[in-house]
Amino acid sequence: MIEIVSDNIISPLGFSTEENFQNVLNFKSGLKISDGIFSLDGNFCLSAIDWNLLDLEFENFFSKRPSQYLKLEKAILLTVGKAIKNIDVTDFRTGFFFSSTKGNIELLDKNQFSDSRLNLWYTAKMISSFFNNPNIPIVISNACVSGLCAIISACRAISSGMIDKAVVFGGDILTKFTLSGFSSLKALSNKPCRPFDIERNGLNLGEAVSAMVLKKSDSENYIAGSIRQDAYHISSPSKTAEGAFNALQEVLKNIDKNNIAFISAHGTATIFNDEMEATAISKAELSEVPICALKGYFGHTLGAAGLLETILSYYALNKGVILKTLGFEDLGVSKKIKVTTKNDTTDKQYFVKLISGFGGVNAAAVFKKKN
Amino acid sequence: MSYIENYSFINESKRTFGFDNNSHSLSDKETVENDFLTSIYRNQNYNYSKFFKMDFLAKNVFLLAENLKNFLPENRNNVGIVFMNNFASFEADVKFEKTISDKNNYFPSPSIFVYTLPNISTGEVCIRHGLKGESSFYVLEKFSPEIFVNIVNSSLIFQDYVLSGWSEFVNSQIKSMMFLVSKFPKKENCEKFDAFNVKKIFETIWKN
Repeated sequence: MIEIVSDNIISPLGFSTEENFQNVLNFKSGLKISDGIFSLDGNFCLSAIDWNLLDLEFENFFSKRPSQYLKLEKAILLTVGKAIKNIDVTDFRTGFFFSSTKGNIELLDKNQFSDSRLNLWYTAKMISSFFNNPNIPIVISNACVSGLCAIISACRAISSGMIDKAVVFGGDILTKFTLSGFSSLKALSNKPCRPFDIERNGLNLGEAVSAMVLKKSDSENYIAGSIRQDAYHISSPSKTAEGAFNALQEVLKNIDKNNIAFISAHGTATIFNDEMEATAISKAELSEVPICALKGYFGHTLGAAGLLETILSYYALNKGVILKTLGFEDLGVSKKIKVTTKNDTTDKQYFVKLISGFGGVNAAAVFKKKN
Repeated sequence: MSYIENYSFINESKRTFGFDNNSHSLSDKETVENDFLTSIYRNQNYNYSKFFKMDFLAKNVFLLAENLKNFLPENRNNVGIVFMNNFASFEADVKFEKTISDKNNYFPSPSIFVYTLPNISTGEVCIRHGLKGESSFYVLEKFSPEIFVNIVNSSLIFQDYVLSGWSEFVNSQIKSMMFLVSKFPKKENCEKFDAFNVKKIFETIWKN
């Protein structure tokens, strides 16, 4: 069995899981409208980290300045450092798993095309050697699904006996590269996003990093995980929600649906993603389970999303809280689902994390409350 | 226990490609300049026009899978793909960067941008062959038979077949391979899918 030992979230809403949770509980959002970012034309609604604050926090935590590190590197060092505080990760039985879509892609903008720091494996190795872990770190780059896939991959490595403990970490920062790309796909909203709402018109990008430590244990927090393909289109979700539904079916095999506190959905607030998720949820006969989406607080944090949203949802479950879906008012999908409109309490035992991404990938996982 | 149903490879330095017991090599005449992957596509008379829209990585993974298509089972609901490399989507990244780096010539292309996610390559193969199992993309500094086998085997617990592969550049030339791994071998004398056999096949291919 696999236990979640500790975790951390670094986002515009705070530098600890607790701080992030308190801010979400009070409906604070990291989303702000900014113009002129990366000297691009137009307004963008983004959730951006204050890097001066992060540098101070880094200096406080490590007692040294982060000047030699790139943004993503220092943020990840900080989140991993906080998550593994008082945990030994220096042995061969501990694996490092890194989820990111674009890593240090900002280097391309600086014409550093041959910089080895552009490699995702290089970032992962830099992090694992900083914390003196002797193993080859594993990088998962599975688009928006990466963060949850990294958790699933780490849990499989523990279940198979390859390792006893895993440090899962990941994230992406805001860059001209991703902003231009999502903008060219016409996927962005220039107002705070509205998951599952009738007026939703796109996503907001956000930056965040997160880390989670898992270990082989007598208690069980990670129950099951599944990754399934739509085999439909590289950049738009399946109309029948086949992949997401199959993933849900797989992880819910031995779960009493009456004991599911909530589903932490992807809820990007794009027309097609939310419609697809609603279809999957309804097909899986989960229409009565509260649905919560966190993009209204953090934006879409890409490589961090699956990890950050799992950590925050797990924290909420342990506190007996179901979080409000910020930005949602009137149901705007074709299936009747119960999207949360306020914070609520629960004493149920499980939550489901659901997520989908480009490349037709979907993933679902079930987590159980701490004993 | 898991088994190697077959494997395919692309070795640009030797200008060879193919699958087990069926290796082809391209002559000078058959090789499009600096584009070994398109040369393979033309040589094999494939007919999948989407190929020309793909980035380098997706073409690479597509061709490896194309070599193995005749060995795939009929029911694809429990067939997945797990692919790894050490350069993610670098070629597409550079291509996309060129469309946004000049403020006076800013034309980000969505069709290039999507390929800057390495797992679009595995997605393309799933669409092509209707694979509805798991698709995952990993990035590692170098090929490790132990890690490769462990990750693929732990994915195979949840499905019956996995196309699993590795790709890297050696002296700017592509070297890549893909195994069709199964839980229940379809043919006799299938070799076990373990680190020892993977390493053996890996080394044999690059020698020839």
